Order: sequence, then structure tokens, then C-alpha cells
Amino acid sequence: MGYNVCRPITLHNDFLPPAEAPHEDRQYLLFGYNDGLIIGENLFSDGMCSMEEIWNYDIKQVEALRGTYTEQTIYGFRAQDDTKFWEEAKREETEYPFIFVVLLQGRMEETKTELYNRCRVEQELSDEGKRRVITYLTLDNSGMVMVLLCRYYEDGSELVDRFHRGREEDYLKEMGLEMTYSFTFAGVQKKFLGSERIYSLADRMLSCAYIYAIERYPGSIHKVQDNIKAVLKSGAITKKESVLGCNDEVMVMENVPWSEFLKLFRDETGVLNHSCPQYRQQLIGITTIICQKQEETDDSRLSADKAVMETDGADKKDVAPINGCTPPRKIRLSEAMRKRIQERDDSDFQPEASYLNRYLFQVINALQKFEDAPLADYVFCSMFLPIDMLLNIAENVGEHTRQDFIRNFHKFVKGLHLCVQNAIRSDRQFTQSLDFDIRIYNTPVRLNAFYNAFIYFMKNFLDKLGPNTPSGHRYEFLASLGVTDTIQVEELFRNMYKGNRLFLVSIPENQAYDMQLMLLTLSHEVGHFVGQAIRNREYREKCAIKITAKATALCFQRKLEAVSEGEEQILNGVNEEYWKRFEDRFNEYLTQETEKLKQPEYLKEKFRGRSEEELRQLKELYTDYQYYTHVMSDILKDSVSDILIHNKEELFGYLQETVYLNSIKLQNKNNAKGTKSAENAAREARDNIMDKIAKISKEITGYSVWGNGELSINTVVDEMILLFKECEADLMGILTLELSYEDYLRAIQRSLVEQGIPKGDFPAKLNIRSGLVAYTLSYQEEGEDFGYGWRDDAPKDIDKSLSQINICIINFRNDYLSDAGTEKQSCMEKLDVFLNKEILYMLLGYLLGCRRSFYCHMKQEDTAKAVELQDMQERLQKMFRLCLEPNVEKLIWNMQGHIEEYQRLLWDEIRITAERRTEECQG
Amino acid sequence: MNKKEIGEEFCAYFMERMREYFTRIPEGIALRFSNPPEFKSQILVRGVEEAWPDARLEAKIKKYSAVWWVEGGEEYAAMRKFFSIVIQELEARFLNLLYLQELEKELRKRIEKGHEDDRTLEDFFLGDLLNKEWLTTRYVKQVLREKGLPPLELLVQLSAQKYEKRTVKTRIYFPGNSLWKSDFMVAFEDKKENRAERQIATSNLRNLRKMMEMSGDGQGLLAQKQEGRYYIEGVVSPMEMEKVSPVEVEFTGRLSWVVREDGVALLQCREGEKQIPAVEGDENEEKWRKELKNVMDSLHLENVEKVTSILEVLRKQDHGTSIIFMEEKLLKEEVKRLSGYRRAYAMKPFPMLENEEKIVGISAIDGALLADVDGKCYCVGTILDGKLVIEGNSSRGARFNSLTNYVNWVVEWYKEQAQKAGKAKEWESAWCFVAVMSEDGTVDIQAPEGLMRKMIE
Repeated sequence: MGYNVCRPITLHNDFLPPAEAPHEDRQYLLFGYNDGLIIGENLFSDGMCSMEEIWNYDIKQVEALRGTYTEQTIYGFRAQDDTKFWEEAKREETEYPFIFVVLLQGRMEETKTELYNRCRVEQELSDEGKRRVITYLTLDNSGMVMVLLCRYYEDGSELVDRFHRGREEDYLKEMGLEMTYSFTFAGVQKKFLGSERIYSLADRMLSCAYIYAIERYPGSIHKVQDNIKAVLKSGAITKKESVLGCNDEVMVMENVPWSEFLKLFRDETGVLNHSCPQYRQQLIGITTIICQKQEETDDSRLSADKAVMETDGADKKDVAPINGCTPPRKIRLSEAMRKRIQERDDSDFQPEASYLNRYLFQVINALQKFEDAPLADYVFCSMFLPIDMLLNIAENVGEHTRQDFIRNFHKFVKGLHLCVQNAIRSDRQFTQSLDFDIRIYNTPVRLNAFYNAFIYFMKNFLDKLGPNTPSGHRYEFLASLGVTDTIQVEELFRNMYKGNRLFLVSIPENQAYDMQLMLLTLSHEVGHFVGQAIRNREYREKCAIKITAKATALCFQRKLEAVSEGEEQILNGVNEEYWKRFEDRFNEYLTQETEKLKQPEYLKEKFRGRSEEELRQLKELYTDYQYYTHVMSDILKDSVSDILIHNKEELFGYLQETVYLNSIKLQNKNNAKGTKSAENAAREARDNIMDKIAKISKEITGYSVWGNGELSINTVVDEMILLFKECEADLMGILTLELSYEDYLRAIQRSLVEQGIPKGDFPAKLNIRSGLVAYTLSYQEEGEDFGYGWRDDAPKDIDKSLSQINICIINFRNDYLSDAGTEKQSCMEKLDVFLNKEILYMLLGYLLGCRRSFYCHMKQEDTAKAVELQDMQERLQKMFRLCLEPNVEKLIWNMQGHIEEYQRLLWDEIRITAERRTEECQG
Repeated sequence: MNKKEIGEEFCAYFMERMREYFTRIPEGIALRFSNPPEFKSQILVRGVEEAWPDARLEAKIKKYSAVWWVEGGEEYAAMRKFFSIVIQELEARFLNLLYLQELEKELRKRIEKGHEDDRTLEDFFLGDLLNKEWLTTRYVKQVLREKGLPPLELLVQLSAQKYEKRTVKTRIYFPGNSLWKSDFMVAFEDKKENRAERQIATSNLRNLRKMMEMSGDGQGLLAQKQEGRYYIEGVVSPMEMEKVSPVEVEFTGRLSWVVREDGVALLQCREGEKQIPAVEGDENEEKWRKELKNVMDSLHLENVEKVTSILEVLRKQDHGTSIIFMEEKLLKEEVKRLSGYRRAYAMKPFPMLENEEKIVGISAIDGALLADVDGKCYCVGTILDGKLVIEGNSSRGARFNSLTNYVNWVVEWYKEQAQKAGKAKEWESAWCFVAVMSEDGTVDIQAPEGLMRKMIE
């Protein structure tokens, strides 16, 4: 297994002007754009790989921020203990006061980047008394981070320079890295800086340094200059010039002893240190650039077989295979996207909406900036297909959906912006430009890419399940980090272009490091939307109608009993048989209503005053989208109201007339005198009961801002739809990944913690949902094969931490699903309705159907397709099991493997799409 | 067993109850609740409503298609009218099929479990409809209203009016056509000044009674409607009126009148008791005829019809009368005995039916007639005697009580005498019975108690 390390390397960047107090916590002072560096402790305590610790550390860092600086943390991963290396770095009397953190980007070859190899190269690059080297893998854009601890500045700078000029590339290649780009942070240990030991560098000369300064007030630079001169004694400042842009002045120093130079940066005394009074009086900010003399070399000695990764959609020179597969080509996305937009006929858009193009072009321009930067394709190619779908939808926008389109468009662009922001987050510093945007997200790019890959594979797998004829549906997911507690998936441009569905996935940062939970949740979320063949929508609609009818009957029954307490005799005969008939009738009416909504004449009558176009759209909505949950929900709610108004007589006739007759009988019993008085009393009783019915109707068909948990058909329908969706999505995830019962319980437990639910509480909603899912998966029937399932939903050796949830699930089953079970009688809150065996069984029937469908589609007759599906499923399961990989470097490598496969498939899809578009334009 | 249609049990039960009060409803008349047959001739009367709100649990459609109708087509107007009222009431009461169903459940429960006390729904929904008096009154009012006749109270008052101590016996005709006039009518001069005196109104009772006396028993008065009111136009003969078939109110005695149309009695009122002849007949009529037949059958006598006819004739006697039918030997002995004591007029036996007009006058005198069952009268004005052998009936008059006592005494007395004389055998087959005709038109048949008891058994 090895010993796992996650070493946080935190870079600090002071605001301008910086705070007054010296930075006691920073270990190193950095030269260049950044101001300080801290090397944190290993986050993997006891050497156990647990990514969640990264999030915890992030929180602590953010909480420690005082509003005077920003920070960025690079996490280095290594499957070997590095304590000794850093002990030296932290030593006050360290021999190696200078630090270089080198971010190396390029293609990496897994087998060579194995730790063993790297250790060997580290040793070769290290030079006792001069330099120590250590390398880490990262989850950022950089393939590798190399840290150099050096005795002298030049010991590090010259090595880095040699890398830049391709002179030490052999070492890098030995480590499996084909470097394309690097960025280095250089600094000096603050303890060393503040000690007398700096004078040991008196003989070491700094060849050249540029001090860029922003004056506090015009001319204040002169005082700084004077201060520097006083310190440096020799005529160190060779020139001072004015500059434009971010800075006002630049002072050039040459041939300065390092000891003198470093004095300028000492806390409280060094004029170039923010804690020094002179600094605060004269300066706002400085940036120090140190130059290094280079050895004369032949820079034309560039590797002849360096891969040139360019593409504009046409095949270029092949690249050498790595890891046995042809690496994905560099994708020139911006060109493809630009063409796509330009090919569209702008006359489709009204003038007021044409400005939307501007946003798209801005995004594409921003992407182009980084496209040529040495960044991986997967960072950007995940955006291409969603943009392509957006453009498809735009072409089909009608007059009446334009406003909706514009609203959704802004959301999409915002999501795209967030994607881009996060993607380039690691690299923003490289722009050397001041950036005042709030940085919220710290999730590494590679991790995001892994999640995008998972979403992509999951989507393809679920879409593939089904009949061989193409579903005709296209699904695109655009995933970005969001300020959210849980994963949120929002469908954009809903119902605007049949068969094209675009989703914005907001991934919560707080869960991003809990990989297992993330994948479980993503499988659940994708399962919500993809997988028509499994979802059995038509059958679901039938179930939904039946449940709504049953729930309506239950609502009335229970509420009527409650308000008629003490008058039970008046309801004599209004028994289960009546309510069953009520339910059956209601079911009929609901079914009829859903069919009627497809008829133009009926729509015209129902939606009087609407234009022909609006009516046409409504018809389309109710015909093409009737099985979609959001449409089905609206239909059910509206229909219940309508039915209770228009079919009151048929539904409640028996009830009211029975009350009438019962009242007559009661009058007789009480010896009421005369038929007339009996009739009057009976009429009154009938009117009373109808008043109660009317009141209950109003209660259960209305929304109340006060009673969110109260019983109403609207809330019951909402809960029902939620149960359908959530249980089915749970099933998708469980069946796809073949999760165990314990895995499922663990996911529930984690989810409870994330939601901040107190320990010991198990919300009823979740209880019902998990109870149904558990029952579905443990259901067995002789002669029937349902495929993957849980043999027993009450395993004997279940983890103690999960026992509470397990008991709740078992109790739910015993109480409500077994033959001896009972149903909740009170029925005053919306969830009480679902504690009814019939309703639960209807839900179960649907879920079992989904489970069976999944199995049947996996075991289909088309052998080739079955094999393909199995392969796809295996990949997803591998990705999930990867989260349990104990070796952090293997984890990262395997992750990269999946990302590259994702990239390859995506490129193929993009190419096919681009070709099709070209044909369409030419045709 | 076929499941019964809704209403089937109720209809059967309802007709059963109807027949308890209205005994003349023929067996062929049946109440139905269903879609009526295509052949209208099978329908006596049908309701208007064809679709009924159906709140029953098993109901499949909003409205149930059925009609209340009465089966049996060859009956006359009075029965049709009666049942049309019944159907109107049923339509108004059973507004929902559930009521019918629940009532049937109650009936079934009562029959199967014998819960006699549970009549809640029956009382509520049927109530009045099973009350003979209520139904009859409703019928009477509706007939009078539909036929445009004077109100009930006026007719009752008219029938109670005496003219010079004489009770009214005549007719008033109400032809539908107000313009019809009879060429042979003795008409009043139609002038506005005398119109008020001829108006049929409560305020004009004395004039009306006077005019009714003008027409008398053999003729009638013609009433015509002008400006919403009826006026007596003149005196007409019944034969004349047969041409137009008007509605006729025949006054047959004190507080006794009948409404007829086309010769059919629609309703009858006697001493305040309203009757619907078509469905209920005359209780007394039924009774005495039945009793007569029973008595004569028990005595193995034939000629029931002849005796009945004789009694019909004798009923015309205003003041009431009585006739004792006897066995021949007994008859002769009694005629001899009673006439010997000057307590009767012995007659040469004469056939009563061939002397119908005379017998009415003859029977006007006090005293009973003695006759045989062949219809020959032997004695008139008979003052009867006899030892008191049975208890009296204080609710009846002297005539009834003495005649009843006589028939119980006379045969036994002769038998006793015969026994004493050792000739008991000669009187074994002696019998007698009496028919008492009261002034109000009722007929009582009385025979010795032993025979009556035997008949009951």
C-alpha cells in the first residue's frame, strides 16, 4: 500500500497595500508575483489516503483569511513519506534556505512516473550540500510539482533554466514527463532571512534584479531608492525608470551581494518588506524579478520528435503513442465553435436577442486564450457539445419561448463562465495580471475532469440501455463548481427542442473531495434524466394517476372522519367500499383528463383567450412531454382541482345522500316529530356534509405559505413525483455501480451529515425512500430473475455506525410493507399518505419494473451490444472502486487514464458532430 | 337466481300494500320502474321523468334511465288517473336511486329478519302514499281541478241541502265545450241580471238547490262556463247529454254524490267518505254481495243473482227497507201467523222483479217484506216479533236489531215447537235470512249466528 502523503503548498498574495504586521506564519518569502509560501503538514494522517481532508484543510485556510491577502494551495501527492525532506526545510539552521516550487506541465507516462523512477531521478538531481529535490503528483493542470531546496539561489535557478531550455529534459523524460510548460515560485526561508546567517551569502552575487514599484504618492520612489542605496552601499541601483501599466517605477540592481539584497526584505527593517514603516510610507506594492545569468548554449537543440499538438479539425502529424494508446489530439475548439455560431443564420434571432451572440463570442475568445496554453484538452472539450446543443435549441426557438430562452441562456453562459473560471484557476496567476475576482473554488482541475468523465460515461451507458433504434434524445451536461451544499442539476431550455436536453450541474465544493459520495451522487443525478428505457414513463404515469386517486380518497376520508368526530352515525355506510369506488372513479377521471389535454378542441375550451400559437404549444407540451415529471405534476394538480369541481356529484353523491338517509333514520330514532322536520334536518345534514367536503376540497387543492408540511394534493403530488424520481435515480446508481446495501447506507449517512441533520434523526421522507429502494433490491420471486440485487436487506454484520439507519429501514418494512403491517391513520401531513400499503406497493411495482427493465436490457439478445454495455458498466464500476484505492499515486494515475479515455471519446463525438454540421450547411 | 333490478322489489311491495286498501285493483295491474315497452297498449300510465340521479355505489353512469309506469292497458280513466297521481308522487319522492335501493334493503331486512319495527324509510318516503285517506283526497282534489268542477266543499254542501225537507237527487252536467247548447234543453233566459242567481257558488246554495229540484231525479241541469265561472243554463235530459259525454255530478242522496265521465264513476262521496270506485269499489257493496252469496251457498240455495237484483231494486227506497227470505214451509207458516195477528199484509205471491216500480212503493211502508228466494213476495208491512235471543247492537237502529233478533229466533222457535210435538224432522231444513237496507244505502245481510259462524269458519 505504501505511505500516502498530501502536502499542501500554499502561496500567498497580499492585497495592495499590504497589511502592516509582518507575516509570522509564512515560512518563505517569495520573489515575484506571490509574496509568501507555507508548507503544510501531511493531510493524510497515518499515511491513509483520504481526500476529504483536503476540504477540511481548505475550510481552515479560508477561515484564517483576514482580508489582507489571497492564497492558493497546490496539493502535492506522493506515495512515500516526505517528512524528512521537510524537516530539513523547517530547520532554523537549515543548509538549504532557498526554495523553488516548479509546476511542470506536459504529457506524462504512467509507468515512468512511478515513484521508484522518480526517486531515482530525484536522487540524481539532488546534490548534497547544494540542492535537494522532491517531486509530487497533482490534481491540477500541472502533471507534476518539483520542489527544490537549495543552498544558494543559483543552485535552483540554473536547474530550472536548464529545464526551460531543454537541457535537462532527459531527466524529466526519465520521470515520464514530456514537459511543455513550467512555472516556478522562488523564495527564501524567513527564519534565514531574519538571522545573521544571511551574511554567509556575502560572497554570492546577485547578477540582476528588477524591482517594480507602485508609489504611494508621486515621487515617493526616490526615498525608497535612497533607502536602498543606504543599505546596499555600493552603487547597486544601476538605473531607475518609469513604467506604465500595473507599476509606476522599476529599479534595476546589478551585481549585488545576496546578503545585502536579502536585507532589503527583512521584517520591519527591510525597505522592500511591507512591515517596514518606510515601505508603508512610500510604497503601495512591489514586485521583485530576479534574473539569472545563463550559460551559453545551443538553443536550437530542441527535440526533433517533440509532438506538435495542433488541430483545426484536420489530421496532422501523428504523435507517438504513450501508454500503448494514441494520445488524444489537441483540439482547436474555439475555431469549431466560432464556425458553428457564424454558420447559423442570424435572422432567426430578433434584433433584441442578437446580443446573445456577443456573450458566446466573449466566452469563446476567453477559451482561445487558454487553448494554446499548455493545458489539457479535457478542461475545455467538455464545453463544446453543450454549446453545440445550445445553438441547436436557439435555431428552434419560437416567438413565445424567446423570453424563456433568453433567461436560460444567461444561466448557461454563467455556468460556462464558472467552468472556465475553475478550469483556469490554477493558471490565473500565470497571467501576471491583477485579478480582483472573488476566488471561491479551489477544487483541482483533474478531479473536476474525472467527475466530468464519469458523468459522460454514465450518460452514455444509461442512454445506450434500451431498444436498438436510437432514442433520438441527446443529453449534454455542463458541470461546474457552485456555491451549493449538494449537487444541483438544473435543466435549461426545458421543452424548447424535443429530444435535446441540456443540464447545468453545480458541484458542491464541500463534497468534491469525497470522491465516493460524489460518484454515487452523480450516478444518481444523471440517472434522473437519462435512461428512458428503464424509466418506463408510461407505466409511471399510470402509477402516478392511481396514487393520486388513492391519495385524494385517503385525504378526504381521513379529514372527513376528523371533522365528523362525534357524528360517526351520520357517516354510517360511508365505508371502505365507498372510498374504493371513489378512488376508482377518480382514477378514471384523471386518466380521461390526461387524454383530453391532447385534443385541440378541449384545449381551446379550457384555455380560452389563448392565441392559436399558444394553443399549439400547449398541445405539443401535453402530447410530447406528458410523461415528463414536471408536466405530469402540473397536469395532475390541475386535474384534481377540475375534477373536484366538475365531477362533484358523481364522486360525493353517495356520501351526501347516505348522510341524508342516515339523518332521517336518526331522526326516527330520536322520535323527531313529523316527516317535515325530519326532512329539514336531513337536508341540513346533507348541506353540512357538502360544506365540509367543499372546505376539505379547498384545503387539499390549495397552497399555503404556512403549511408546507400540511396535507394537500399539491404537496402529495410533489412528494410522489419526488419519490418516483429519487428512488428510480437511486436504483440507477445502485444497479449501474452494483453497490452493496452497506454502500447505500453509507451514502445515506454521509448525506445526512452533509445536510446537517442531527445524529439519531432519520427524516421520514428519507426513510420512505430508502425503505422502498431496499425492498426493491432485496425482492425475489420464484421463477423470476431481476438481475443484481441484495440478498438480504438486513445483513448480520453491518457496520455499527450504520445500524441506526438499517433499523429504521427494517422497521419501515415491517410496519408498512409486510402483511402484518398497518397504515398511518391520522393522515394529516403530506407524508402520512405514503404510509399506506397500497400506495407503497404501487411505488414498489414501478420500481421493480425499472429493476427488471435494467436487467433485461443488460441481457439483451444483441450480443455485441450486450458486451458493449457490460464494458461501459465495468468502466463505471472501476471508476467508483478507484475511490477506495489506498495508494494515492495509483489513484491519480488511474484517474488520468479514465480522463484520457473520456477525452478520446469526446473528440470522436465532436468530430462527428462537426462533420454533420458541415454537411448540413453545405446541403 | 337472477339479481333483481332496482325497484323491482319495491314495486311488488307497493302494489301489495295498495291492494290492501284498494281492493278492486285488478291483478293485471303492476307498477314498474324500468324502460317501458314499445307497445303503448301495455302501458296504463307512465311518468314524465326518464333519467334519475344515481348515487348508488355500483352506478356506472351519472343518470339511470328508467320510467315509473303502470302495466295494464285496458283500464278506464279513473284507474289511469289514480295511478298517474301515484306515479307523480313516486317521481317527487324518489329523487335519487339510492333512496329506492335503501328502501328495498329495509324491506328485505324486514322480510328476512322480521324486523317489523324498522319502517323508518318506508314511513318517510311512502308515508302518505300508503295512507288511503290522503291518497283518496289527493285524487279527489285533482279530479275536481282537472275537470273544472266546483270545489269539494261546495259539492258536499249542495248534497246536504234539503228543499222542503227533501234530499237532493239529480245531476249537474259540465260539458267540456262551453258553447254547446242542447236544442231540447229547457233553458234559462241568459241575461246578465239573472246570472248571479244561476252561478254555481257557495253564496248561491239555496238557488242552486232550488234549480236542482227543478230537474229532479230523472233530468239534470246543464252548467256552462263563462268568464271563469259556472252558471246553470237549463234543464236537460240524460239522453240528450249522452251525445256530448260531459262530466256529470250525480247527487244520489243526502251527502251522497258521484262524479262520472263517459258513464264511468271517477269518484264517489258518501257521508263524507270519499271513494274511488275504479280501485276500491264500495266496501259495503262488496261485503253484502259476498255475504249474500256465502249465506245462500251455505244454505245450498241458487238464485243468488235474482236475490241480488231484488235487493238492488229495494235499495231505491228512500227511507230504507228490509226483506226476509225464508224456506217455503216456514214462510207460509209465518205469513199465516203474523197476518193472523194483523201484524202483516198477506199478499198473493207476486214476482218482485216483474213489479219493480210497485215494489218500491210497497216497500215504502213500515215493516219488512217476506219472500222466497225465487223472488216472490208473500207478505208486506210485516211487524216482527220474537223473544230476545241475542245481544243487541246499540250502534244500529231498531230495525236492524229487531230483524237480526228475529232471524235468530224464528227458526229455533219452530224447531222447539216441532220437537215438543214430536215433529222435529219436519223443520230440520227450515232456514231464513234477512237483508236490511238502510236509508244511507248500505245493505246488511244477517243470518242466524250459527250459520254466520259457520261461514266465517
